[in-house]
Amino acid sequence: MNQLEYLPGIAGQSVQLDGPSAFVGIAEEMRSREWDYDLGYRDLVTATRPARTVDVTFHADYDTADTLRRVADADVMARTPGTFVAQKEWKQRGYILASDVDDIHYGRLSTGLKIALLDGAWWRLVKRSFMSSGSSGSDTYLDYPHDYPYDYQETSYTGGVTPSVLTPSDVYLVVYGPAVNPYVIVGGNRYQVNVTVPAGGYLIVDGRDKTINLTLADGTVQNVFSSGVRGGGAGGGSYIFERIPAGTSEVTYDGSFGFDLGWYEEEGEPPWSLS
Amino acid sequence: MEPVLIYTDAAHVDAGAIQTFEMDLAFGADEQNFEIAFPAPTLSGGELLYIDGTEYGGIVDEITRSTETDDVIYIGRTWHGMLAGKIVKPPTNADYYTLSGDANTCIASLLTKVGLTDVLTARSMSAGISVNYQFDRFCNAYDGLLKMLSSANAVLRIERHDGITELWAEPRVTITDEADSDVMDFALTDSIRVPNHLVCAGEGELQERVVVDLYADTAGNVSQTQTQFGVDEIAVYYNYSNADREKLIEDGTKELQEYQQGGGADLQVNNKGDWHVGDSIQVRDNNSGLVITSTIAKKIVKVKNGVLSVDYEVGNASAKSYGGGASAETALVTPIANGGTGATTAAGALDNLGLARSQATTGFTINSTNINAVGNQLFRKQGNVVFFYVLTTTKISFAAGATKEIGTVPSGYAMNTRPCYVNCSAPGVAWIEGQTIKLNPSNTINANTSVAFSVCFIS
Repeated sequence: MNQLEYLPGIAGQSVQLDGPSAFVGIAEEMRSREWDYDLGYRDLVTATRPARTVDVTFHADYDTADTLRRVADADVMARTPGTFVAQKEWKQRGYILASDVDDIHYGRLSTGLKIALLDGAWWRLVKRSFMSSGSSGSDTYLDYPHDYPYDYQETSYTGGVTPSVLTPSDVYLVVYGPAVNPYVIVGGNRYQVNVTVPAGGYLIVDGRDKTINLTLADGTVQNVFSSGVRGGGAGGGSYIFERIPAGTSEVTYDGSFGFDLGWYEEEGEPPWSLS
Repeated sequence: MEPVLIYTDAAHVDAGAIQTFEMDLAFGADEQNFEIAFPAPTLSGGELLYIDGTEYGGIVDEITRSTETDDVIYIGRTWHGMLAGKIVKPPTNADYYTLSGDANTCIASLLTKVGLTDVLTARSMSAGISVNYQFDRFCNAYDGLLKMLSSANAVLRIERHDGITELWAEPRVTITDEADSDVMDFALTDSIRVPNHLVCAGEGELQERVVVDLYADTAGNVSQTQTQFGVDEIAVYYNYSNADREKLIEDGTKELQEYQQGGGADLQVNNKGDWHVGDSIQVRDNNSGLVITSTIAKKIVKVKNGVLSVDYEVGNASAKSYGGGASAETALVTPIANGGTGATTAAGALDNLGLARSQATTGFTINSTNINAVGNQLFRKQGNVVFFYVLTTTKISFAAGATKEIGTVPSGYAMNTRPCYVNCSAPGVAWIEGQTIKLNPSNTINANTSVAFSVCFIS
């Protein structure tokens, strides 16, 4: 596999599994995909992609092998999965559960790694920034050269996002303070958190981890999960973790704050066209 | 989309979401509890666990930790279980607790009475359903609420949304054409033999105790006359220690009648959770032709490997019939010679068909007075097909070219409007003229012969 990296979950340096001192070859099983399914009489009843294990052959020098062992075992013991990164951007959480050495030769070893891939799919985060109406250079409406008490502008702004995948994507939203009870409407769903984001602080809504955290200007992180509006849950029109649908979705906001709107695109395998 | 479990802190403030978990949750008849396992975070008890926008959730009462597997299982009461854990006591100086008015207002009153308003909220909007109900003495609040709403042909709805767990009443829905073996798998139970002898013991002590024996016959009729003996008799003891003879017979009859409605179904349904406990449902097995009508008694919700599935337990059948499948239809239009296995009465013929007398449905009228020597007619209606049988008691002879009117079809049905067709097992021809079903056999119909007809109505 071209350019595969392991980012430890707990601590330590990342390990290049494909580089000058290490090599995983094609890593066919990591590049493969599989659904867990139940068949009905004339239908697919369920189809999920649970965590699974794959085997790859890993060649490395002693230093790289030592580094990988330390971080991989630490992640397993701490139950903090690491992240495999393919083609520099496609990620999947996982553990390295076993190493079965079968050759040692001139300062290098060859071993079979058993890897648990946890997410069922590879994903990447794609983001787009939306500026507040007060941001310099962002106005497309009348902004007088003199400092009037207010500028003439629309009360709502629109834009659009178009994920490149054909399935709904988990949302990722960063709201930059100051903002009071900020909300953004994407594809008809209102994403709102009833919290005050102070100047210098920011709010992150992560639909993949289902977390909502507020970071203050001094770096303090607060769990504000309970402030996220979830309404009646998914599909209800006001669910903070609603997935962004495939295709183009209109984005509407009031322009009083800047934000990044992101989405996690998922693929069953790291795209071949990038190999 | 994979289900997401929300957990709160002990003060019931939302604290986070869990995506990796296994859940086994049930509510309705008999049990209202859950077991949910997840590796993190660690809870200490008293927290709420729920899935947004559903009625699946409750409060953590127990925590089981396995030292062998590191698994942590959280056990607790569902919203329904919280209600079931409260006893509705009659007010001081009153024999019964009663509620009347709009159903949602009554739900609010009950929640206040049992002290659950800090976690359960009755919908403030009117339900448009009027109730006037006397609760059983010392019933639990959940059973009482279900019975109260059932008396108004309504069901209880619960949903957690916007940080509140809301309760409200909705009219009972009748589910037809969905629980069908052509579209889903299920297990359908047909109870052939059910308890038919109830030994009722009422007030009094020892030999002074009031004892009444109630019996059900093969058609399900309850009386004090025994008709089934030996191995066919199945007896059950019914203890009602403070009932006098009259009350004992009244309640014992109801009890034994309930036993006669044997049969039920377990339905496992993925991606379908919008049926509710108390809804009426018709379950049809097209292979055996068995159709039962009952109410949804229990929902069992499971989450495993990110898949949520719902089992529905359907209670004892309030109606049961055969005729849903092609094989059954074929059997139905076969004449039962001389009343089948010796049966010469309507009840006997009915038994041969596997039907109880009370389950015969008069889908339309038969002009029994228009045909000579007709003894009895039996009906049952299955979808758009009505089956009926005419059991003759004497030989019927027809003059050449003569016809007999044997029935009428419902208003609105006729060959030139919404057509219907008739098939007849008798040696002759049956047809529909206007609203009238006519018969012109080529020869005679012998006495004690069942003649089967089926009439198909086109919707």
